[in-house]
Amino acid sequence: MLILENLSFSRNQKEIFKQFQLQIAPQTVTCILGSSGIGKTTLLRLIAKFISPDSGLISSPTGSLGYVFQEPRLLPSLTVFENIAWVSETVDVERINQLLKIAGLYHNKAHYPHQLSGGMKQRVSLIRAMVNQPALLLMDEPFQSLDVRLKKEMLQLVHTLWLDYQPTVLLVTHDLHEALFLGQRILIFGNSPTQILGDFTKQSSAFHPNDCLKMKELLSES
Amino acid sequence: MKTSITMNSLLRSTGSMIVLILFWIILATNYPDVLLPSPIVVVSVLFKLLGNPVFWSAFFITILSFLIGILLSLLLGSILGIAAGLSNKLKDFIKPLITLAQSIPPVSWMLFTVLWFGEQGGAQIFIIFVTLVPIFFFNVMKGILQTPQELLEIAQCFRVSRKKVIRDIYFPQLSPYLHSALLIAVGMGWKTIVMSELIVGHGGIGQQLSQARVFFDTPTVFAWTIILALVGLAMEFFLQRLLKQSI
Repeated sequence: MLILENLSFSRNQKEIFKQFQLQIAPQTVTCILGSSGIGKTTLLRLIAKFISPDSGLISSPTGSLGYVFQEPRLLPSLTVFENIAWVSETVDVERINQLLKIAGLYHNKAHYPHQLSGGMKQRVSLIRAMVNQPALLLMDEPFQSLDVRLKKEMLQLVHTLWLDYQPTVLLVTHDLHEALFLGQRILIFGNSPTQILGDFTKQSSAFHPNDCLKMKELLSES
Repeated sequence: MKTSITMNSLLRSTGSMIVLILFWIILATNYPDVLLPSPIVVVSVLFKLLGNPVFWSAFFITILSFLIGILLSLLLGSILGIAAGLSNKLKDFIKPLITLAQSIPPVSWMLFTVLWFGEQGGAQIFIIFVTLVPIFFFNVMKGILQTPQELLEIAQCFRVSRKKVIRDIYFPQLSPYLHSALLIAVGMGWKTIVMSELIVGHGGIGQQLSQARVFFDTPTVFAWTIILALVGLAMEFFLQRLLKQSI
């Protein structure tokens, strides 16, 4: 379980979170939506401990952490395979090869980042995030720079990889369709300091149509 | 096309050297050897020098002091640069000291070292060392400070070992900064070592130059100068090739 308790964080004298509370159930995909600058990325950076909160508690699931950033952030001097192996605690060649095959990158494993397209780089970054089978996977708008076709492929890939061992996923996105496709729970952030304006949970296989309408309404307001 | 451009450029460079030598020959006919020896006299002295064991002993003393000085400054400059790049507190402490060392002209260091070390050796190495440490320090510190934060975050997030971070993030990042520092240091160090030998004494090419000057042996001063220039150019040329290969 990922628990954020009474979290407060300010930047440049602006309160972004004040006594913020959130609980995320294990082995679920939770999507966070909201306008730019509301604190979505900041929340992920707080959870990843890149920055420290002014006060409050963050309790993450035990085990390793995976992070897919907005940009692929691959090491330019390493090949695709080496980039993935670089973050591996113990290099499991078989697992890396298997993930590369799922992502359709097996034949590019000896290529360097500059030889890959944007979509390929982002797929490498996704595999790298999942190679250690992290208990918690943070994804910060990983598909925003991709075109519609690549975005669809990536969403399918994330879903396939998630089914592998079902980690807890927190996905920040601007795209409601992404959230509806991947998320089992959708949170809509708004106001300042940030508050959860809407919290929706998938009923059986899809979100309730009324919930979808409400989400659209909240997003257009925020 | 590319070959012809290179050939043209080579011809122009050779042409400028020929013009310079011709100008030197014409000028030298109007002056005695003690003021301006002709290139022919200088070349004959140079060949005589090459056959003299004193030449080789002076040459190796200078080369050895130069190499020790460069290596020590590379080592300490890099260590201090890394420390200052990684810690703001250490940077605040070390940077003023290095800036101070850098602001003192090498000639002042030469005079200090004569007083501190006497003429018993070590002074030349010290002078090279204090002159070059700032070059390595500032370059390495800049390299560390400009390390992409996003890659360090990847390492932090995935708990990548320190060894891997140094090898795969810091080292490739530092490499161009170290390369340029080395090129500057070699050029500057070579001139400084000879100057320090000339002032401080205790063997080496600088002392040979000083002796030749005292005896008004201008052709020998010219011959040594040509050797110094050629060795300096050769070192920069080979270092550049070596660094290119290592990229």
